[in-house]
Amino acid sequence: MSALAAPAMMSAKALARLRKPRTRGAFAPIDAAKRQLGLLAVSDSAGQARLFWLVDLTTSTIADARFLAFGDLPSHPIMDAFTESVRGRAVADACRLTAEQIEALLRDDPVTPAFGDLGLKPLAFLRDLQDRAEALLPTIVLLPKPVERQVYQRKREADQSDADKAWFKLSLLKKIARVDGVSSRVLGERLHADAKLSIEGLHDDFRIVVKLSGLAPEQVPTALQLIQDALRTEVHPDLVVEELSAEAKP
Amino acid sequence: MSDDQTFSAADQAAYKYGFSSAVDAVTMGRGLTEEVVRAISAARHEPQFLLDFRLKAFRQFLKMEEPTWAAVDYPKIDFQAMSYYSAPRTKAEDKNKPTYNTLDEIDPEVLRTFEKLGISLDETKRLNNVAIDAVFDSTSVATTHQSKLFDAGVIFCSFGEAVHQFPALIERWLGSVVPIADNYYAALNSAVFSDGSFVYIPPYTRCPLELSTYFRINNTDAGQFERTLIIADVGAYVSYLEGCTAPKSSKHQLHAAVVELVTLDDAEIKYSTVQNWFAGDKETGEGGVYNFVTKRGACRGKRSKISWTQVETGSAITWKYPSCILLGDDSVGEFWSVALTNGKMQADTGTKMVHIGKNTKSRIVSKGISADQSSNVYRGLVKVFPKAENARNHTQCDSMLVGKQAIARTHPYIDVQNQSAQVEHEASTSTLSEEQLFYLRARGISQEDAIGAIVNGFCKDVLDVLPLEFAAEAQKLLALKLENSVG
Repeated sequence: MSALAAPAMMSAKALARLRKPRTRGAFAPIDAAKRQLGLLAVSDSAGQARLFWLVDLTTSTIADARFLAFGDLPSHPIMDAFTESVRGRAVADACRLTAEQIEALLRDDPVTPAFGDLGLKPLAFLRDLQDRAEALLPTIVLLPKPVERQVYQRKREADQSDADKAWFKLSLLKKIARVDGVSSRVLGERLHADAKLSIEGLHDDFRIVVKLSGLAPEQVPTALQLIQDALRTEVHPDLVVEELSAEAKP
Repeated sequence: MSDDQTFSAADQAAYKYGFSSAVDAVTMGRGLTEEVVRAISAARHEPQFLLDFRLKAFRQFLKMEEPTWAAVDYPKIDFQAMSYYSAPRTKAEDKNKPTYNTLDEIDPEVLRTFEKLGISLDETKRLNNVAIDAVFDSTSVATTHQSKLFDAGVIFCSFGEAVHQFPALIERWLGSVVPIADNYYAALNSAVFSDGSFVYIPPYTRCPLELSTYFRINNTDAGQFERTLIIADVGAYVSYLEGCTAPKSSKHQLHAAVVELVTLDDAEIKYSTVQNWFAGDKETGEGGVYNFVTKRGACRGKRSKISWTQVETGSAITWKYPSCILLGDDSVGEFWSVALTNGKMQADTGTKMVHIGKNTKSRIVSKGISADQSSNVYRGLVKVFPKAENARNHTQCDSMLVGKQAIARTHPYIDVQNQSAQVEHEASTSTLSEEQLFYLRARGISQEDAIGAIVNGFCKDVLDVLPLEFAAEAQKLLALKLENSVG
């Protein structure tokens, strides 16, 4: 957090990572426990960054990695490139990555240094961070898996699939229109014209609550399954169609 | 300080946050010694640099005298009669159980207390885009939406968590804006501070959520000494709000906090406060919080900006001067304040704007409302250093008196050492009278709405700059506080 390497002295690649890092974030102990991985989290002594690695303790492989940077401006793109590089590597390998290798990832072309005249100086903290991470590894323990509570939580943006992105960005009215379009077509094609469907609830956890009319009671489960299959194929693979419960019906 | 007494139902209705919760807590014995300072540090498992910081501050505190220049009158505080650390017990203290740092590990009574205060710590019940750090007595019990903030690179956590996870960052900035010898209460805070909030906003990042810290004093024997440190890196922006309440008690409680803000080039921090501590008995002045707070922001970067907005409606004694040190060229400092005193409350509050960089600008808008037998003092300093070319300041200081015994005073200090500076000060004093109320009531407006309309009109400039979620609350709070003071 100083004037060290002003944006003008950075490569375009480094600047892009400074403004929009790809692997920024943190893991909490609960994240590691849920995935049954060890959490290796360590900061460097110069106050530049903190890394968060989820480590498979049987193979010492880094299953997932994130970082928080808070030092000089270059610490942000450096940590972003470093974190991206360590995913899937063994901890020992990640700790052998050199400053030159990381700096090369931030160059615009092979001959122009990423941080101008400063050379590798802004990357000096990486060595300390790697040493600390390697030293900490033997002390990491696996937390017992916590008792899962059935609480839906929307995926963080970085973890969203293309289907998620396409679905989440729609407004409620557009979501209703899409679901209604697919459902009405399926009912018309696969059952009969008298069958009617009304959408009673469209929830963030992919649940769609519907009310069906004009169908014999024994046809309802089939109709729900047909609608769900069509919606999963055409709209989003996680959608679940439920009938409005008897208690909720007027 | 006398023993606790039971308050009447009418008193409870007047201050709805005045309840106390039966929480299983770890509380240190009364008294202030070097051993207590060491014990606080040990209880929080702090690194050596922080213990050294505390001890240095404690030794400095012993050499200092309690300030007497403020226009407030209160009996001498017995620093040996209060406890300096009280924290709710957590599951983490049971060594045999794994800890995940989740809400499940917090005493349900603490969670219920925050629910009663209207602060839900359960993220699934969130209604608005506000991340909350909840501080209960001496510790932070939970911080919401951390995952979303971390994804944006924003660090928002309790001070204790920051000390363990980002020690170098804390060592670098702690005391950089408010040094330990700054004043008597800052030295005390530096020696015994417990928790508070830490915020870091990375470069070119607009914090995706409003950040908020809610301070709750529950133990009537313990003081609250929190520390807040906010750093906005190059081109960053954050809006932060603090709120506070305390139980009703016939004892006085001490709240001596320190807030430090740092903005680098092109960064901006908007810091808002809605203060609603228990202000003591309206008739006798018994009980209430002594609020001795040091708040200061340093605009270190060029074109950086710090804006203080505060609505103060509670605490028996308020002694607070949120300030801006305008170091960077073209930096801007703002202070928007509404201070309401009623009953026997005393407030000596204002701001300091220190112009050091070139082309720096500051704006002060202070609205003081004093009712009943209260005293409300504005004390402000505008200082322009010799190298501060083209510095600009505009100060507007308005007072409103409600009733015949209320006191409003203004003490502006202006120290200009550069001839290119342009400093303006304007002040006014008005009254909220029965005639005004009668005029409005004669037109079918209820007493409550009439007071609200007059007060909100008077405070409009400040309420307009509060975050939207809190502006409505602040308006209601002001009207409620004045309800029985007029007519």
